[in-house]
Amino acid sequence: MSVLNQDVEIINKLGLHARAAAALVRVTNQFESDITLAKGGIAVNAKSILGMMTLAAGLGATIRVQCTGDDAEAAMVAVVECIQNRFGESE
Amino acid sequence: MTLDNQLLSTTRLIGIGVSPGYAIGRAHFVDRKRIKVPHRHLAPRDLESECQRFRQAISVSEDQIKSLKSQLKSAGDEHYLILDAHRLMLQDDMLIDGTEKLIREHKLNAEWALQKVLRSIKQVFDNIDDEYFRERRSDIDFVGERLQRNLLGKDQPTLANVAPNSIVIAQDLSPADTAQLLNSSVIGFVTEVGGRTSHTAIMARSLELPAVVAVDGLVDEVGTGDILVVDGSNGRVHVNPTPEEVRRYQKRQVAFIEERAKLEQLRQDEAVTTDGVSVNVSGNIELPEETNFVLEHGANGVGLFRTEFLYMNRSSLPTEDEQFLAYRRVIEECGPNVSTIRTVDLGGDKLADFLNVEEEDNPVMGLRAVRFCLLHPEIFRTQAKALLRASAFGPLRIMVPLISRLDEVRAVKSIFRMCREELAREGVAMAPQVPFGIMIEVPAAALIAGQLAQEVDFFSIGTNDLVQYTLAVDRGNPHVAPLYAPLHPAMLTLLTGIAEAGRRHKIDVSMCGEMGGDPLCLPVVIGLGIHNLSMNATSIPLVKAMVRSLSVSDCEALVQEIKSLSTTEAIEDCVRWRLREMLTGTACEPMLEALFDDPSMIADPLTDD
Repeated sequence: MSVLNQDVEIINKLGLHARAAAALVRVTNQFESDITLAKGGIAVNAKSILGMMTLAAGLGATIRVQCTGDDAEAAMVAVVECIQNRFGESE
Repeated sequence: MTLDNQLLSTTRLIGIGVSPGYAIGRAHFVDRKRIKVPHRHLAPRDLESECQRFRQAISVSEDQIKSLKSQLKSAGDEHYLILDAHRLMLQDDMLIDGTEKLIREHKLNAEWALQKVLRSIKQVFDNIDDEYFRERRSDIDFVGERLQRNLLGKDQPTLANVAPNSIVIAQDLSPADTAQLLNSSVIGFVTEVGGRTSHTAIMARSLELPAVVAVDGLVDEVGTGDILVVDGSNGRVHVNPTPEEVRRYQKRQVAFIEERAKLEQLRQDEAVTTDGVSVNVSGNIELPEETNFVLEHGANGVGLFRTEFLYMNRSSLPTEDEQFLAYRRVIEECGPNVSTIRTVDLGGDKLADFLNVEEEDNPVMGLRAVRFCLLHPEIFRTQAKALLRASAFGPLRIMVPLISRLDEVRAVKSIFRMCREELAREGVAMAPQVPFGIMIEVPAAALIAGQLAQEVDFFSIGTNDLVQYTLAVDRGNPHVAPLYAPLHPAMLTLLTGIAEAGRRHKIDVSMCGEMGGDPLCLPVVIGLGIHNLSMNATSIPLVKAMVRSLSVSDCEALVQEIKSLSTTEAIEDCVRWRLREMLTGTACEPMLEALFDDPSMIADPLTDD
């Protein structure tokens, strides 16, 4: 059972808005681990689209991803990749 | 369309124009009566079935959204994704677990429990500083409303039966609403609430349909069947217009459509005069999101980014990081073209809610802009540092508003110098040189332009305020608004002096006020030697087209001619006459009629500096 932490920068133009959050939720829900995103000391459940929208993470924000569980490594890779691919958006 | 509405009185409503163009048609009112949420306490034996009922409503809501999505063709890409996000909200633990918890623990009926959960989620949104994210709380309202209607057995409002050439009127429009309108022949949107970044605005712009939002009193004043004129360019709605108003707007509509079609190909072309002089035409913006809009209209960059929005409608000052992101965004989107960002013009009639500034009798001439900033250096330094950091990401010019004294210039430069040194010590990347300029909008600055030019890198003439202060005319006062005249002989004298000072001391002189975007003033501006203009997006295509049809030497000759005239009327007549001559036989000739026969074609003076 591992606990992993990694900081990632939001690079898509519109930040973690509704559509991006939706893309990320589809990724996080594939894993068993608990996954949270944190910004400025506030952590939200990354399997909750509402939670992530309230994080209000815009372009350039650095968020801390934390994965806790048996598939934490796989989850972390998938989450980081999703964010770095701009959540599948073109910019 | 018969004008049997002559007996009804005309009402003029004002809002924010978020998508340009004109629409004339009948109102289709989307009435969302406020749902009355019943409050009941349940018996313990009913709790499970209530949770069941709730989950059933969720399932029905999901099906409805799925059905809407399936009706969309790929053109509804934006809609598809947002509806998908709504569907995910319906599956969200925060919503489901939160509501069921309240049902079970507090024995509330599902509607009441849901209402409480939605409120607490929205409360988090209310505390978000970023306007764009804060506007997303309306997505929660839309999803919540759908759920409540399903719980209460009420129908979802349908937009399936909208007649062609209808203008949709509503308190607010959800993505589900506009998704249904994609294949209909709706010609415009008006909502009572909303702003530039609300869903209605975004959709209207992508559909290229006129839209006005934030129209106070809309729902009370308009009913289905009312005839409306929607002026998305100026943020006006006319209810039951007079035949004369309808004719006037029909003309504007035709001109708008023709202009847009014709200028589609012209807008990307360079604005170069017939005698080979390049005129820079940039765009004015108030929000980072507008950068794309001005660029699409052919802007060579952002010539004025008003930063006040960062400080308004919020409960705390914007942090350096927040500001840095906004500036960087504009600079990057604009690159490799130049962005000119103006430091905050706070105070006056744009007071931020939380700053405890004493009420002033005459705020416009009071503690605002650079004066305010020099008295609150900690606020100014935050902005300065954010700007300097952003300068690493593309070409940036910084400018300061309301300068009236040389010592102000020196004090500001000193603050920037100190901020630069601090950032350099921390190893923060910045552009090695960031041109520093000032707005010339106070007559005093215009009169000492020679001295100011020696200590700054550029001027930007804020004609709106400069004309008001020089002629002592309040544009917003209908009794004297006609006296507001950029072509008054005194203005020509001042502008000549400013341009002269720029030439003598070899600094760039640009113009960011409306005068640069006014077709009837353009030849004079060019003739005075001001070849760097910034204006709102919708003026850009016409100005670029005109530049390509004019010659600098003709414009200079015109300026010489009007210098010998002593009245505003004589000057305006002369300019009109010569401009007509200059444009005849050029690509702009078709626009002559619109320009000269209809004085109402000239931009509405009731817009901010």
